[in-house]
Amino acid sequence: MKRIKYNKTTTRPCNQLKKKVLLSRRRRTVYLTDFIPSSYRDAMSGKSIFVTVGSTGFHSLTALIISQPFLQLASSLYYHNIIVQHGSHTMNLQLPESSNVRLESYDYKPSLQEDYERADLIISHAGAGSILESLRLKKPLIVVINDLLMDNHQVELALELHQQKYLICTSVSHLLETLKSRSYETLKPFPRHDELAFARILDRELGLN
Amino acid sequence: MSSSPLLNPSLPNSSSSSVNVSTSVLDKYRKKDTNKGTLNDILIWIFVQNFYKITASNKFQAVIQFLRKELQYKTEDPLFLYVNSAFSPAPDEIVANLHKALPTKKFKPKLGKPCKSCIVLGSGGHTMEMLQLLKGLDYATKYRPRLYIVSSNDTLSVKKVQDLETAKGGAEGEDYRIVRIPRARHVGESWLTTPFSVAKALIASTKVVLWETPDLIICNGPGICVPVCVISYIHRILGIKRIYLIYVESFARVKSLSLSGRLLIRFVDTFLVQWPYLERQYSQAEYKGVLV
Repeated sequence: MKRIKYNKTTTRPCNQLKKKVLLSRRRRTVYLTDFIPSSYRDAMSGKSIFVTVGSTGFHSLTALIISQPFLQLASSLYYHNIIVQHGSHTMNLQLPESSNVRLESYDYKPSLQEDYERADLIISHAGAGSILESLRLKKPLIVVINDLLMDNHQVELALELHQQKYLICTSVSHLLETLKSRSYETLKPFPRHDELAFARILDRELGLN
Repeated sequence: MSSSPLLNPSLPNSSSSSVNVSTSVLDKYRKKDTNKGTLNDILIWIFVQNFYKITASNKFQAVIQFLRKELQYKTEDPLFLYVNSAFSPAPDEIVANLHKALPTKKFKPKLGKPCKSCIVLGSGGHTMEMLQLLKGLDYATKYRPRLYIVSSNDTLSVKKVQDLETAKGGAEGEDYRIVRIPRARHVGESWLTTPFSVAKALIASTKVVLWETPDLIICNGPGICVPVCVISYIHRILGIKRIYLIYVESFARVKSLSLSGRLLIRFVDTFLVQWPYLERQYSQAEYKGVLV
């Protein structure tokens, strides 16, 4: 209130005065945590992993996720939240007492968008839908191939994208090693989705320009 | 053959790539003329589209004569001409008849008005990809009204379509409609009962496509798009309307086509794939980047 009065009393608006007002508006809350190095911050708040297996279950993967070695490794890499979409396969949520990892799980949701966005690392089955969703969000992605569906054409997609370094493709038995190596941190970002690409093709083909 | 193809210097630089190819091929064979006798038969692939024009009432003989003149071939030199690299027309065929009878690679419909579109949705992944494709389409002026074909037990797809339509400002009943037809084949259905469920789906899709007569059908690989595309040929055969069919193969298909894709690749007007390997493997497939 005082400042407004002061402005009114001045005969002409002074540039310096304006700047001051702008500066004061731009002032933001500074938290103490901002001064802590990022690695420690991760250790305190914890990053999150989102595990998705599609509508059908993927027993061996979900079993590995709640096993002691995985949880230990995850917490040592500062992943303290794990969200699991486990599909039709029901999960036994008996976490070891000692672990400091929070585990959330559900069988399926109509839209997983929110969980994808929240995650810092996504561990997914080889489904084209989940792969595409995570790639578009530019999240580090580890695709775990289901050995039972080895001949599935979706494996082809995962392996191809692995070769082009957009994601890391692994199997259940090698997931821990992959996570340890942290190779998922140096992946290439997937090109942005051009929504109008198909519209342009269709308009041209139909002569609707 | 070792010499690089020369471009005709008289051509303007702004000419399209197809023109360049055609002139370079012609030039190559003009040059070949000097050391004639090394080759007995010459198979020429000439891309004459958009470059040379001919009156439709002419006979094919005129094309042959023109090419002989261009290549400076004498009458005794062998020259073999093929249309679409398969069919060798007789010299006394009328060019107009050839154009009508043979499938031209690109059919361009002449639509002055909004295009009545039929969109075939599958389940799960297919619906997701289709909605990604539809996002960019101009619903208000170009693609209207819209007809969605959904499997009868697929409530999730219906909901997603309604979400998309409300986001784009379409009103149900007025701008778009959703039609349900039974599935052609349930996942894991035995091969014994499959023919019956296919017949059921076929009858249902016949009803829809025959009565609605859309201008355009967009599909991306679920089972029901096969009967829908097949039925759309009825209009074409009876000469009522030529329905434009566009097929987009799934992003998940890297090195092999899906069953629906393999069945339909010969029948659709545009077949888009999302991986370059498939374009190399199938001559009709077109790769224009990842679309979903």
